Amino acid sequence: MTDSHNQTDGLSRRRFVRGMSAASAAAAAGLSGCIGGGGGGGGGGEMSIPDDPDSAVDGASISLAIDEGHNTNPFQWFSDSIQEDTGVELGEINGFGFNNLYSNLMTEFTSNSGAFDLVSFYPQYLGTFAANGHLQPLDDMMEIEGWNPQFDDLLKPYRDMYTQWGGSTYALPIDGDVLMLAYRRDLFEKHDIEVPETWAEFNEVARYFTEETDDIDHGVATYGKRGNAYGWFLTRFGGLGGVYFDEEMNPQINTEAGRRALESWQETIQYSPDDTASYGYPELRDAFTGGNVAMVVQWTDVPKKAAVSEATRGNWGGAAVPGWEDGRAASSMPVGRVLGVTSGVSDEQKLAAYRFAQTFTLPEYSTHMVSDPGCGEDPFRTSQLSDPEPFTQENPYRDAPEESVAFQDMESAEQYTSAVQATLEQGYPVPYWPGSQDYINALDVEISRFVSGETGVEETLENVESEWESIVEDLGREQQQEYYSNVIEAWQNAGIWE
Amino acid sequence: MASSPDDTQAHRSTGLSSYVRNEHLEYWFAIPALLILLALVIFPMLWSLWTSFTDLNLSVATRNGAFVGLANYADLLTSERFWTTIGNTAYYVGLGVAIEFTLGFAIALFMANYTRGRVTTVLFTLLLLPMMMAPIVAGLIWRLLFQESFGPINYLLAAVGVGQPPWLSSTAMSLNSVLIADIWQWTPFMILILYTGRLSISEDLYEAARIDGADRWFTFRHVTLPQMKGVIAIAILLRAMDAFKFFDKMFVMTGGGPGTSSELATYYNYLLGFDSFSMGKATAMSWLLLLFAVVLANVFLSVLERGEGGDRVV
Repeated sequence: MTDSHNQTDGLSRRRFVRGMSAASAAAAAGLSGCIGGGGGGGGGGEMSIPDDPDSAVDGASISLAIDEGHNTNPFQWFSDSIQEDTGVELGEINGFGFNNLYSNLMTEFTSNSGAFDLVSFYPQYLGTFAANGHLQPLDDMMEIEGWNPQFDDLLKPYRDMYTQWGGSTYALPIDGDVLMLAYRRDLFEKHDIEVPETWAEFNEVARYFTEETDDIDHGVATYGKRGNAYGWFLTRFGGLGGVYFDEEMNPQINTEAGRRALESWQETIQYSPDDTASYGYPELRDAFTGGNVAMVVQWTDVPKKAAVSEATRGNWGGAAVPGWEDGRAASSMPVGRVLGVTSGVSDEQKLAAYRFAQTFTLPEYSTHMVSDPGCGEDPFRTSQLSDPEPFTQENPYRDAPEESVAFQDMESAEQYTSAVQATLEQGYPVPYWPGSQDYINALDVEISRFVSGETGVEETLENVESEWESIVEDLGREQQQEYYSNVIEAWQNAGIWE
Repeated sequence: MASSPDDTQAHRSTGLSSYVRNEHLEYWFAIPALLILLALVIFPMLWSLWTSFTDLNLSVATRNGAFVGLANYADLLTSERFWTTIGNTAYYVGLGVAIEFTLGFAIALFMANYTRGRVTTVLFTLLLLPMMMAPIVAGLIWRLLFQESFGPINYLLAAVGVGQPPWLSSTAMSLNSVLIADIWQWTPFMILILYTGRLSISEDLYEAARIDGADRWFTFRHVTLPQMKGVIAIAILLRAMDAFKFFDKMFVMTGGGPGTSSELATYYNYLLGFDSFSMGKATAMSWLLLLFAVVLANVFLSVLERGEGGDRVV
């Protein structure tokens, strides 16, 4: 795999072309946003490490880009303390929409604005950002004495998959997202229902609560809105042994695995609220924490929210997502978050950004973040799952620490961490090589149409297959093949791909 | 060598005056503005035209801007999604502007004929409030209003036994829901323009019509409409151009979904450019949209000009 991160900072023809094209596309389309021309690409090359890096970053101020919302909270909680520890001040926090973070970051990178020193993004963008030289390789900075991000404590999937591209380290994980099952333990116990272990059982439980009891409005709800709906499909598809492409880069979506995954999901949708096609993360979360549905497949922060919600406090349960009759199961790993240092800023800013990020991810801080229901960040370190106690304790960095306790007892904390551990063991990775955003978007649009009932199983799969074929051709089959095979290798090393 | 004051004056007169009198001087004055225009508008547009013939994709290093001829245009014109978004846009602009115009015209005429003084002021203040709101805020408000499980509209509908329509989650309704929000926000614009247009018609014409025994419908057809033709054309054209470029309310209300059922062409264009970063295709689509807009605007204006007497309307 070739990387462009060794290019210099000069105004190369490609960088000029890229910068101008971003600007002219906006001009021609009459789209909003001022996209500066002339830059682009970023360098991501060699940087010099001063003799005394601690002094070099003392007093520096950095800017951060992140998806807006509750995930920005930990940066506010910890920034003062990290400044005391490292001398690095977190200046401006620039929040972007959950679903248009990629657009905003790429636009900034392409125009080489240098607006952000540190960026938080979903690992599925790692390949694109790193291969295009937008991120600074971190390996040299990780070698600095006292600046070690303690990678040996990272959970293997996040360490091997969320951080690496082309043999270099480009990111530090801060959020270990994976989909899990959250259910109403009180209702399950009342009706003597076992936690479903297969999708057939899952649908039967959904049907039971929807049709045969008045205890709750619906048995289940599902994600349907464009943006991340694809993850709910992959969770079933992956459990059936589904893969994205074969070695020749032919799409493998329109297969028996794809068909069975959609048929099973179609049944689930019958027992979901009528408007489930418009559910994104907040709607799906609130459907469960508001006490409207008996179970949901959701990200791993939702049980923490459920534990502090009036309707579900003490009544929630967590488990790995169901699998199939042969025992195989998969939990899609969409989103998650990592921190990367941008390549288009000065060496001093790179150092300061890395120092802040490295300190932020250390257990001393991050454990208080992943155990706090006031944000969406989830466990990504081994120590955060092996010791559930912090989930029952206050976050000392909060102004109102009493609001930061996720679970009132160790039993709940242990149930949560063991469910996350179990669901992580069956993690199913999402594409993250350059260009993969196109595959994800195409899949996501078709899945959204499917959930809304606009298209059936066959049409959905055929459409995705045809779109993916066309994307492979557009992006270049050989290059995509190379990227894909390298990514598969990383997934295999992480133990989440056969 | 010293020169006499007269010589200097003569020199000034010949040099400066002739320069000032130079018939090409205005062009020199226009140059700075032309340069700015060239740099900020013409050059980016020409560059985007060139990019539309290349394979440039900013997320893939190997797609470096090689010339691909008309491939991007061909891909778009044979793409189902492209035509879906064009269809959605045509529906949105056509129906939306038609309803906004009809409602706006009716209300404008009512206000011009039947309200006076403070009543008019109060009505205008109320009617213009939606227009003052940022479209993104209006979108968020309508998204909450249309929320199916706990939104106030469905609450009221359920209370009267009408049921709970899937405003945003149904492929059949999502675009119409966005349309409703748009009509709410932009009908006042029509009212404002058409009301002022109606007030500009001389009352003498109405008096003459009354003396001649014309009824209201005849007066409307032969006095109001012809006199307001220019204003109507401008109002419709401005709204249509604005609606054609629109995507903010759709973005927050439905995100183009479910599927592509409410996706408008400008949003798809945005996704091609700033989500896929496929600049070749994005710029090609921009040019296609520009072409559509120019053709439609010209057709609209020529249809209007073909009216009574073939007068120019704008």
